[in-house]
Amino acid sequence: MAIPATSLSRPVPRQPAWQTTAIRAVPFAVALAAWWLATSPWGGLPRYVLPSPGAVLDNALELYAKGTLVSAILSSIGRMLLGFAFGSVLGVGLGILVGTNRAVAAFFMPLARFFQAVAGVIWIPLAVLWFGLSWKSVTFIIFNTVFFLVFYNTLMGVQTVPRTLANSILTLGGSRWDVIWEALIPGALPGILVGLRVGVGYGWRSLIAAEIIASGQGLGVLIWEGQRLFRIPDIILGLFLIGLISLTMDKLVFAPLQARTIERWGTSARAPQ
Amino acid sequence: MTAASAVYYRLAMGLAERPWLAALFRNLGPFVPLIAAWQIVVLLRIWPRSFLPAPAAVPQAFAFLVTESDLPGQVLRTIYRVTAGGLAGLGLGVLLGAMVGTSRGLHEALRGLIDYLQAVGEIGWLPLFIIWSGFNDRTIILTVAYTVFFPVFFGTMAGILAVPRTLANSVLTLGGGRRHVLWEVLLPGALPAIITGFRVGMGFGWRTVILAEMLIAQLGLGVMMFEARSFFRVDWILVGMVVAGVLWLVTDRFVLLPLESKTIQRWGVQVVER
Repeated sequence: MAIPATSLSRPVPRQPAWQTTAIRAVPFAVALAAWWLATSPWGGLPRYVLPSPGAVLDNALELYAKGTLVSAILSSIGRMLLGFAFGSVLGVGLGILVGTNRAVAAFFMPLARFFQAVAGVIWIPLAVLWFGLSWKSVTFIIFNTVFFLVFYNTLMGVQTVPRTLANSILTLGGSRWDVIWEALIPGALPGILVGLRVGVGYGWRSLIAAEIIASGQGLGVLIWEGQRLFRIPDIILGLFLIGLISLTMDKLVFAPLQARTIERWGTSARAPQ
Repeated sequence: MTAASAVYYRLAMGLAERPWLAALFRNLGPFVPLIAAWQIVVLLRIWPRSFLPAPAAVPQAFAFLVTESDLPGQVLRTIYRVTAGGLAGLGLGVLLGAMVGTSRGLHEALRGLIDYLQAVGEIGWLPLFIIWSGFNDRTIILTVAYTVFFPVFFGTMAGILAVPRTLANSVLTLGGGRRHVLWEVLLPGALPAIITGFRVGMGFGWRTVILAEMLIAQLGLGVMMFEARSFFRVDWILVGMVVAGVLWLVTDRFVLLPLESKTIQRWGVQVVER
């Protein structure tokens, strides 16, 4: 997100990690308690509006025992990895290729902007016609979401690298290859990582959406069938897992990576959290 | 030769005199080779016409959909839903963002829950929203509001945290209350970040509304595109995609972006990167 970095915000007091975790766990505990209370006999919320935490847990164990839960998770993650791998590699590669020449970049910018604006779920009807109701459509949608987001951000990232850096490498006898490798790629890395991080977040969402429409298995199918068959515990379980997997990808992979890159090569001193 | 260069000269002069014409040329020019390549692929007959219609079929389908199938009415319905959802998300995002941004304790405690709720995403909630609220506009608006809320919330919070404390302290020293600090210092100072968050949120909200329409509505741009699929009308789907893209880019370029730069000029206090 384009929130400008600043050195003027209040200094953050250092506190031990366990303390942060404990404080952040409190709202989850409160929400769980409220949910439990609302669905208990005292709260009186009927089961067809919201089942109790216990009912959701029982259902989860049942689905786990049947094996459907694990296969749904694995199929969603598998498609995500496939689509993301293609989308990110092509997006970064083409973004750098196009971004190195200023005239070419200026030419591609309006196209990148337009396709970035319609990337993702808007392609679902076309994907279904082209690839049928199958994993191909789903993978195409993730690829599409990730590719256009990453391409656009890489292109922007390359263009923010000051030309003086490239010129000084050339003046000092470096080749164009050195310029790309030593200045453009490291300089564009913060932008590339923004693209990858947003791409993972929205790629995952498009995956769920595409699964709802175009495929027979996965977490998207779990929640959508839950809605059709009125199995609310399925929906809540799916919702919980969708959030958990997305957050894990973001916090364990991309947040540290982004923080490192911005510290190392970025133009601002501190990384956004 | 001289005639050609005279034409080129006049064109260049014309572009130089009319910056909007130059901008139009710069922004639409790149689409010409793209459409030409598409036309060539169609002429090569790699895929049947029903699979990939010619570029010219898209304006034809557009004219047909406008005159025969009330496309403007469907688009207006979509615009209504995305606007209502966007404004709801904006209001809630600013309200909660301001609460969390002004209190360090709340900020620390709620961070995890809010990150988690954002990670779940609007599509994860959609089935539950349908069960609670039904197949109607309210559900779609709620889903869009959920999308727009998070970028606005984070924008407001980050914006408020970035306002220099000296400004707030000077208001307090000069006899102002906490209310004055909020309205005179924190919210105006956060405004550029709020608008940026809103812009990002609406970009994704625009996709959310179309997706939600595909899944649950009877009318709207998303419905039109999704119905076209069952008639195997790729040209109608392409019309929908172009309309969606153009409408968003026009809104973004001519409403949201100017709003953002105006607020940054007027109230921006941040040290902008670079």
